[in-house]
Amino acid sequence: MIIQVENLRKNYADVKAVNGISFSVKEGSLFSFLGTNGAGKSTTIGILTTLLAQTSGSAKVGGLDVARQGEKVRELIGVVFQTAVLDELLTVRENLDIRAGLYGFSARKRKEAVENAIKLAGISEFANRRYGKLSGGMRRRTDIARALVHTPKLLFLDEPTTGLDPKTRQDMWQMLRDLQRDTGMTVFLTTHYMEEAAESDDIVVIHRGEIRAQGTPLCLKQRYCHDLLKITTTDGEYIEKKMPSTVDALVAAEAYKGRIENIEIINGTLDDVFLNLTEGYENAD
Amino acid sequence: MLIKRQLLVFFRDRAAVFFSLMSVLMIFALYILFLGNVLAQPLRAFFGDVAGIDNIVGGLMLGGLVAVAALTGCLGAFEIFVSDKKRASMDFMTSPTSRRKLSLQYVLGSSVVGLIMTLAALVLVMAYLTFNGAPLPGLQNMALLLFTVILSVLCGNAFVFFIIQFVNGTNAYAAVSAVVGSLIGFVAGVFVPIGTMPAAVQWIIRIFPMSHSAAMFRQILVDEQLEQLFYGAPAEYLENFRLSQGITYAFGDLIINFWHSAAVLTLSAITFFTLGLIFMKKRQK
Repeated sequence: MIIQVENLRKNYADVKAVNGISFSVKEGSLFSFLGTNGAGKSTTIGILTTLLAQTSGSAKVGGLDVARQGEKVRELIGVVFQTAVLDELLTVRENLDIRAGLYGFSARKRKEAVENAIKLAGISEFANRRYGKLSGGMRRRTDIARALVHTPKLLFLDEPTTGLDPKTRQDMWQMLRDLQRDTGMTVFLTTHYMEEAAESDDIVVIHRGEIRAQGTPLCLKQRYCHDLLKITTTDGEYIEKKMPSTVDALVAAEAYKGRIENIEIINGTLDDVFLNLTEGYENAD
Repeated sequence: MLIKRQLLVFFRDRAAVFFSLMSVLMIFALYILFLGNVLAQPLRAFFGDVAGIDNIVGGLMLGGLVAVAALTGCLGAFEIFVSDKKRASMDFMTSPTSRRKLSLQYVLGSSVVGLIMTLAALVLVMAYLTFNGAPLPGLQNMALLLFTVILSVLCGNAFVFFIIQFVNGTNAYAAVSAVVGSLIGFVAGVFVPIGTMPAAVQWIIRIFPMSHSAAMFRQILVDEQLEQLFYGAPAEYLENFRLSQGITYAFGDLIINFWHSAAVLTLSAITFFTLGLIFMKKRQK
């Protein structure tokens, strides 16, 4: 496990931003951390990336304690933040060169690291342009290149595709998939787009500082959403039933065999999982 | 690498360079337009239309200008640190470089920017004075000018480093910079000779470290010419003139000389930097 979190808590005065969460992330996996705004995602990432100190509990990255071995943890991680953090007045290459200098590389190693990051992120065509003059998609790719400049073992992506158009999002995901395939890097993702989380190996849903569910996308869909069976019969009857799975829906449809005029099976999605887990709790509260 | 970044970001931002030179340009313009003549009138009334009076007044006022540049140059350079607090500092803090080293690099970077801006102001002043017939300082005075520039920048930098511990956000910093930029000309005795101010204001000027920087520059630029001008006059005439023009200061019976002022700047730099570090640590906790 590259990340191990045990009973982690973070309080801001009376507010329990993170309230005793535990989870782990397998090395080389794509892990999604989902939650509504204010659920505790950014606080958790803040603790794992050593930007924030936890109130109690433990968090380990690569077997290292984030609270006690921060500098060593930071050698293992790369972070793509929600907001742009690079300098608009510097070129892409200058931005990367300066960030590479923070990892104690020699001048030659720094140059190699910058060129490698440019190649991995596929940004060579605009590497000499000023960051401030780039489009949203180009900036995001550059942000990712910055996070890769020291070839980290673990890449944190905090809502990396927010505000990007669908084509740019698709291109960025293709880049990340290639990257993960080529380097075996672990990716820790937070996103609002459930179709992006659907490609994850594992998902954790956090709400109001507590973990509501965790598992593979398929497992979560089976547990927290349902398929919808809709049938219109030849004699005008309309049937709508919630079914645990598509197989169950097909079995149920058998009962209407011979008098089906129209049939539709709508698969449950991760959006439904997310809404059921978060809205369900809102209503319960 | 952060020092290189600070230099690149600051000098590519034309607005930042212009506004950090604003006070200096205003003083220079006011001197050329009318202040030079206004300040020369009492001397002419006393000595008659003797050659060299304009150069003495120029040295007094423009010596103060270089001291102002030492502070405003550092103010401009530290704006990067303030804007980074909300943005780029997250990026740097997820690198293995320790936070102490990061802070030190910001201070060094601002010192280098401040040094370049102050040297530019000094070159401007020397070129103007020499062009108008003032004698070029000898090698020893050149070395003393350089020494004073370095000491003034270190003190100005430490002072700004202390101030920014209490400033949140670029808007607040811009307001602080505007206030300091407006007042510094008066506090350094550039616009109005210190001897014409009320006793309480004179006391404030005497304890403000950058006033000692102005006094050091004035001593290097005009002391030799003053001795020629006051040749044959009672010694207390020259002493009173030096005190009234902020070429030196008195604490009771003690008349502060060049090296006393240098000690004031050094001790102030150490004190402000230490206090800044203490407050920064408190804020981080």
